Amino acid sequence: MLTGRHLQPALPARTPAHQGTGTRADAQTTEKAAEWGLFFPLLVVGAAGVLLVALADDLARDSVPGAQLLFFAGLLVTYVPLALRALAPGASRQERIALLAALAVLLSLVKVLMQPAALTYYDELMHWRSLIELERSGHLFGPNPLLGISAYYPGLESATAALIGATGLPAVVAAQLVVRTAKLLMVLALYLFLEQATGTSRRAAAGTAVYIANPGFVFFDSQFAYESMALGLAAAVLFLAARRSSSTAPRVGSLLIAAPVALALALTHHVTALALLAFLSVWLIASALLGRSGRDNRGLLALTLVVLVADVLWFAVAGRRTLDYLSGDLLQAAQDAADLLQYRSASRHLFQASNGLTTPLAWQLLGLGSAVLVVLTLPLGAIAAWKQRRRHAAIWVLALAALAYVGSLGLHLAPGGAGFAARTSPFVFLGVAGVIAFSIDRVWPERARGRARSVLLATWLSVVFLGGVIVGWQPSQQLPGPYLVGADGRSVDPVGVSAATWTGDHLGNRNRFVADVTNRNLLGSYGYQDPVTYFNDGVATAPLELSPTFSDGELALLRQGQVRYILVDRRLGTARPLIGVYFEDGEPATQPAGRPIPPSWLDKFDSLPGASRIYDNGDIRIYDLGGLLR
Amino acid sequence: MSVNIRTVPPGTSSSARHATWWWLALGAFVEVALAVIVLADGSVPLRTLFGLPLILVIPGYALTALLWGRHQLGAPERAVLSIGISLALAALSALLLDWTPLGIGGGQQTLLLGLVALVAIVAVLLRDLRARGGRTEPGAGGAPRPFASFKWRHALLFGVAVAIVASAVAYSAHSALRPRGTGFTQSWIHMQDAKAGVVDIGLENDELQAETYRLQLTVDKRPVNEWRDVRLEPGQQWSTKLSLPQSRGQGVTELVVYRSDHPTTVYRKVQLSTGANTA
Repeated sequence: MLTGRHLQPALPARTPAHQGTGTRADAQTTEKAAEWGLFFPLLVVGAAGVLLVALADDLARDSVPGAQLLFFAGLLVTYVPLALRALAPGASRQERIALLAALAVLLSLVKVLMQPAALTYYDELMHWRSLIELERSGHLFGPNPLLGISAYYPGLESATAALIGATGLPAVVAAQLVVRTAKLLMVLALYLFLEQATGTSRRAAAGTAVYIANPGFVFFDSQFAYESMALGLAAAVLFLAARRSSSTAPRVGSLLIAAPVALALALTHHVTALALLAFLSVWLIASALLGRSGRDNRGLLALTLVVLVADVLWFAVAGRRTLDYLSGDLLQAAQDAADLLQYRSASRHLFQASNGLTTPLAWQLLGLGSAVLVVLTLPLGAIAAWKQRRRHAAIWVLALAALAYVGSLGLHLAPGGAGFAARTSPFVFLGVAGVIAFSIDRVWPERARGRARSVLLATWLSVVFLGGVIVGWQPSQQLPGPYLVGADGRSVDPVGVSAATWTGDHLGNRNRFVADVTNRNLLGSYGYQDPVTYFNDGVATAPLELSPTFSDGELALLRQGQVRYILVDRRLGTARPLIGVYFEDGEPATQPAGRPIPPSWLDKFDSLPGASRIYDNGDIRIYDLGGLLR
Repeated sequence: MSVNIRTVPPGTSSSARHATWWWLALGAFVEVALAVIVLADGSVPLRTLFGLPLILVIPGYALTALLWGRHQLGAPERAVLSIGISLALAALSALLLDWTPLGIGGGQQTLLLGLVALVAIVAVLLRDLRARGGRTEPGAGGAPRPFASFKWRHALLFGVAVAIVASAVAYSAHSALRPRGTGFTQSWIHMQDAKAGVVDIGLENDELQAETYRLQLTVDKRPVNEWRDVRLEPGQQWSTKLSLPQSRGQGVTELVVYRSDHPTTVYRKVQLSTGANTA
């Protein structure tokens, strides 16, 4: 095993931190650095929490009341004991790391338990289409009618294809394995980065435990989507940057290691690649301003240049499409925020879905409490960081990111800003984690033993973690259950999957289809069809279903989009969609406004001369409109 | 941040031998894995056993040993770099193969990643042998040492945890696949061969129990065929292909499905509008 001295990464002899509590404490803990401590018993406890989640999912599938409570209990049983022990004074470094790794794996399974044998989230189906395209064609950059930009960021699909090729595992299983491996990578690398940045293994464990409580961790970043893998790669580069910055890495070797990781990141996810570049750039500037030694700065500069070159190279391939794709979200969020600030638009109702479904009050309080606790704890961590590590540039970057988190909270009030804020949380929460990590020395000092402190911390962790889960993913979508209209994974059921699969079996592949958002994704993945949308094709096809009659305007749309088939899900007439749209942004409103689609609008194709209802499973009908185009 | 470079003290001859054997064993594992996956096309469990480490760990592990040199690297750091580089190489391998006529898929990526790992392993061996004049020592490229404090009760608890998680996943998989709700029946009609006027009609029972159906086929409302007592178990499919008679009307072919428990209520209806001149 490593010796105790080796376990303190980059503890600077010239900083006040060296005399600080944390450093002395770490020296004590490193004596038993090789001990497992309570890891194995707590691993069993965490596993039991996962089993509770599985039971809750089972109850939810049968709509048994109380399933959500059991689900939350399972989450807490998994998270709190392991997180609490990871930051406890007596734990060894090895124990802390093992506990955090276990948390990464166990919590990433929560999403798997919802539907172990299938990919069901919208983003997952979109990326699955890219994987299908890659496997069928044997080449990259095949068109993806569900998410065009995904074709130009094929890192996730490439890695999954490699695993499928080597193991022969089904795509769903290989996809889950790749994402969970990336999750483990992210947590381990984040810990190691924070260990370098904050100076002690205990602070690093505290920071990582806090990061795991970020709203995107359990669901959004556990799905088969490019960000899930990219975060792991980005964290690995951050770890390398920290080692180079502290001159504890081979100069050339670490750059040679960083280069493929940075390039793989650039071709996996645009936002994560840009966020990493921004983080490193600010770190470099802060380091220069703080007057760090030239050698340390050169180490960071070289790595930042490697990341920059990787990003530039890949942007040369995908840049224009990336800018078009990103600018839409960014501009919308900015516009909404500006409107809100100038009282030009009403603020968004927090904890209320687009269809009016409201989160229960208790969960709302937890969600709000989570953000409030984080914001209130930040100053405590900031003061400790100022006292102990203010000469360290990385801390300043983390503090800036933490400020960005506070700013992003306001975006939740803007109609289009909530989605943007949610997407930034995995990045800005790194700052929150890094700053709050310092407060652990004050809240629970090394020598202080007392049940009250651990109870206080357990409560803090429970509220922040559970509140994060509630804020990050609609409670109605956290558990499986009966079909809901326009509700991401909750809209994917055997009825829709059967229809999509039937198209692939009987109509051949890559037919031009129009369908609502759920069935569109199912058609594009299970059926390997080509849905037509304004988002991807520039043809607004939603009016085909969202209109009372079929007139010349609709016929023109058919011709313009070269649409042959239309899939009508009659369940759309039973409720408003949870995600706000039946088809895509900018779709026509239903009449009367705010009501579900009138059934007569959906049934109009039955009386349309030349249209053939070629498939019917009760809820879903598929019409062949080829006769109208002759 | 401060300097933390540590060179490894000269290894004993036994640790040097240990490291050499470790790398030789790893190289042999990669070769066997390539043989099982690429040449023998082994069974999925066997390929998974060899393929998982070959794709997700070994290339990164070997490259870390080669490129990190003799700088100190703990087990967590080594794990991060091994997994990180392996994932990155798995992603980049597709990019590289995309530029070749071989393309992606099949065993090409496995072969490429396996070769990268082998080259790195050989390079580590050669480097260590040269540097020590035939005596290797464990630096970043050394063999991982077993966890000294790992005990039997740890293994037992670990096994219990794995068993609980596996049970949770298996239980969820079973629960998710259990039929719920009311079930449904799929029916279809579509033109199989427009020139010959051959249509494909069919039915699939996705109800929760076996059902008996009656199907009636009409052309321009004129009955042309009927299938009585079509009994299907859950998941069972019935389909047939038939040539449609010449239509003299609007050319609307309609398939109506009745369920035996409601023999007069139309349960499913599909129709094909072929214009005035079918076939």
